[in-house]
This record gives sequence, C-alpha cells and structure tokens, in this order.
Amino acid sequence: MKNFTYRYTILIIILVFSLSGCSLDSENSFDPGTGQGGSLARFTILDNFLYIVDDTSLKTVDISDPLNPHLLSTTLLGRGIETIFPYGGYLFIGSTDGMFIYSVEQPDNPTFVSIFSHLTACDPVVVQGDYAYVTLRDGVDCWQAINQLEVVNVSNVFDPRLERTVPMRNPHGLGVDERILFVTEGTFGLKQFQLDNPTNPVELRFIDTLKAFDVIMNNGLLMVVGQDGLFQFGYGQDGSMVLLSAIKRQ
Amino acid sequence: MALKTILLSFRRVFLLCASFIILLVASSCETDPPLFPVGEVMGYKPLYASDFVDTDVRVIEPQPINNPGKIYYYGSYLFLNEGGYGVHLINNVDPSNPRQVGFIKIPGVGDVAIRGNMMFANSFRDLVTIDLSDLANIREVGRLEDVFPDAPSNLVPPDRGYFECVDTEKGRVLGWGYQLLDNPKCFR
Repeated sequence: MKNFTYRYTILIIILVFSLSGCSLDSENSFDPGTGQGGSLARFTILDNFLYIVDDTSLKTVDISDPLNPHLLSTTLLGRGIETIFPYGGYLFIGSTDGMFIYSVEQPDNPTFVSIFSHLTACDPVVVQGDYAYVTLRDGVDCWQAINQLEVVNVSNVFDPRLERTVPMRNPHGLGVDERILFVTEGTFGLKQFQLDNPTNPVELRFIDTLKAFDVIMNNGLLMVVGQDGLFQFGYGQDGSMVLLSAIKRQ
Repeated sequence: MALKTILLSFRRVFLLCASFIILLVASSCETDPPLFPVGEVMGYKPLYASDFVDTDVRVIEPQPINNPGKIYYYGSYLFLNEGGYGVHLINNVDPSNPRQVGFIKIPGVGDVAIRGNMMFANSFRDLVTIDLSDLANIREVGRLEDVFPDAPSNLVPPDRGYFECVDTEKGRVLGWGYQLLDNPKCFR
C-alpha cells in the first residue's frame, strides 16, 4: 500500500511538472530552433512564417526556404503599429490604437479576431495564461498623459476585458515568467512585480538606478537593455534577484 | 507667488489644450502633446546615405556599444542592436561573463529574428537572410527587396514619439536608428 501511494505521488509530481512546463513559456519554447525577442520586437517567427509589423501593417513572410523568403501578404492595420507578441496560436499586436489580436490558425493567412482599445495608446504587450500585460506610455486621455500597466483578460479572445490598471512613470518593454513580471520604466528604472494573483501585480522592487527600455526573461535569466548598456540578472520565482553582469555603453 | 504659479499652470494647461486641439484636428487624437525640452530620451535618429560607405552585410571585429537598442536571444547568444548600424554578437554561454565576439553590420537594421541558424533582419527597404551556422563566416545568403517600401521616403520615423529632426543638408534619409537622443526637437 505504501509503495502504491509512493508511485502515485511520483506520478502526480511528474504530471504537475509536465503541465506547468507547458504553460511556462510563450511560443518560443515550442520550437527550440527559434530565438526570443523582447516585447518591443516587430519581428516574430512561428514555424515557417515570419510576421513583421511596420508602422501601418502586418506582413506575413514565408521562410520555409530561408534563402528565398517570400512575402505572402500585407494586412493594413492602421497607424502606429509597434510590437508583435505570439502566444497560444494568436498574435498580439501593440499599436497606438490599442491591442490587436490576430489568429494564426492558418499561419499563411492571419485573421483578425478583436481589438482591445481602452485609451488611445497601448504599446508593448506580453501574454501569459489568460492575461495580457500591456504598457501604456504617454497615452492621451484628453490632455493628461497616462502612463500605466494594464492587465487585460484575454481568456475570450473575441472580447478582451480590462481587469486592472497599475500607475507607472514611463513604461516601455516588459516580460513575464510565471509569477514574476518585469516592467521597464525608461530612464526612471526597472520594476519587478509578483503575480501570485495574475490580475494583481504587486510591486516587489524598484531599481531606480537602472535605466531600462526592454527585457527578455528566459528560465531565470533576465536580460535588461537600457541606455547605459546590457545588464543581466538571475531571478527566482520567490522574488530574488542577483546581478550577474553588465556590458556598459562605451 | 501662489498667483504666479496658478497663472503659470493655467498657461501650461492652455498651451497643452491648444496643442492638443491642433493635434486632434491634425491627427484625430493619435499622438500626445509634445513637451520640450525633454533631455535625454530614447527615440529615432535619421540614418543618412552619407553615413554608410556601403550597405553590405558583413561581420567585423567587436565594436564599442554606443547606442544600445533592441535585444534578441538565441542559443546562448545575444544580439544587441546598435543604433541601426548592425548588431553586436555576444557569446552569453556564461551570463556572468558575456563576451562580445563580433559585430554584424546590417545597415538600417531595426529588428532581427532567428530560426534554425538563419537570421532575418530588415536592412532599409529589404529583408535579408543571414547565415549564422558558422560564426567565423557569417554572411548574407538571401535578400527580399522592397518589403518596406515606405521606410526611406519618410521624413518621420516609424514610431510615434521623439526623434532627431531631419537635416536635409545631410542628404537622403535611408532609415532610422533607435537610440538615446540628446534633447531632440522633433516629435510625431
């Protein structure tokens, strides 16, 4: 009987690990041969397709033969298209008009799903589980500039809903990994949030000496780029953080 | 003193409102009112044709990091954009001791993405494929021309925000580099 329980415990542990392994990362982990960009990226690759956003459109490029890439389509989206983030079969596109969601169920032909448009400027977006985290920089609400982090429920991609806003100073790029969220604050610094409740980011740390405009989070390694250079930290899900190296601007 | 402050803030609000209304009319509320001077901010700098000897893609020895831009991570290597001139190639096998091992010149580069040792990057109007499989021999292996037809003709950068004004005396603008700007005078 004891042996039986023991076996079950092992099985459950393996199950939990494999399940959490699935939900940890974004699209980048599906294909080990694809790299990882920051949240400010305008390029993203899914399988044999490269998706590019420029100021006005989403371009789909077939890269199955990388020596001869060819442009499949250009979809006009509007103005101020700035970033693209793939997650769970969707492309989340940050623009000044809001956050577009496109489906890549047919990867050669992305189709419009919805737009989340709260104020007039949404910028970089990252997604994890049911929630998108969007930074809004110098957004316009009449003549008052709005700077905030928004948590948007995207469990129903056809109907994204604002869950919460967190006031910020001048947010740029951001990254999320399980229970840890980093948001850059431009020249003001870097903020670390804890996400025990994914709709309620709780500020853990504010490094106001580290000018930062984008981050990449990869399995406990945080890469931060800012006007002073490239800084790397180790981070843990418990909120710990340790500086590993700095390549400073010369 | 208090009255002066109030008057000043009234003036500020008035100015903001006025510029906002102008912007509203001009661009239907898509940009925020610019505030000058702004000091040091991240933004776009025009890349002039005269800044480039050629527009070839090639690897050269490691270069100083002057204008760090976007980052990309691939297989223990970091790629750091340098103001639209190329990307620093950084060996990051040991994140405690990253080493700059080269600089990939990609004139007009804004973004890169990598899959299966092939890097895709924009170079002004074109999309280029760069083979990374032999780090000692990184080279361009493919090019799709005119994917970004609007890039060079614009006198404004691809994003809203502050940018360094175009100086037409410096010649034709080929593209834009994202970097730290010292008190830029333009905004879109």
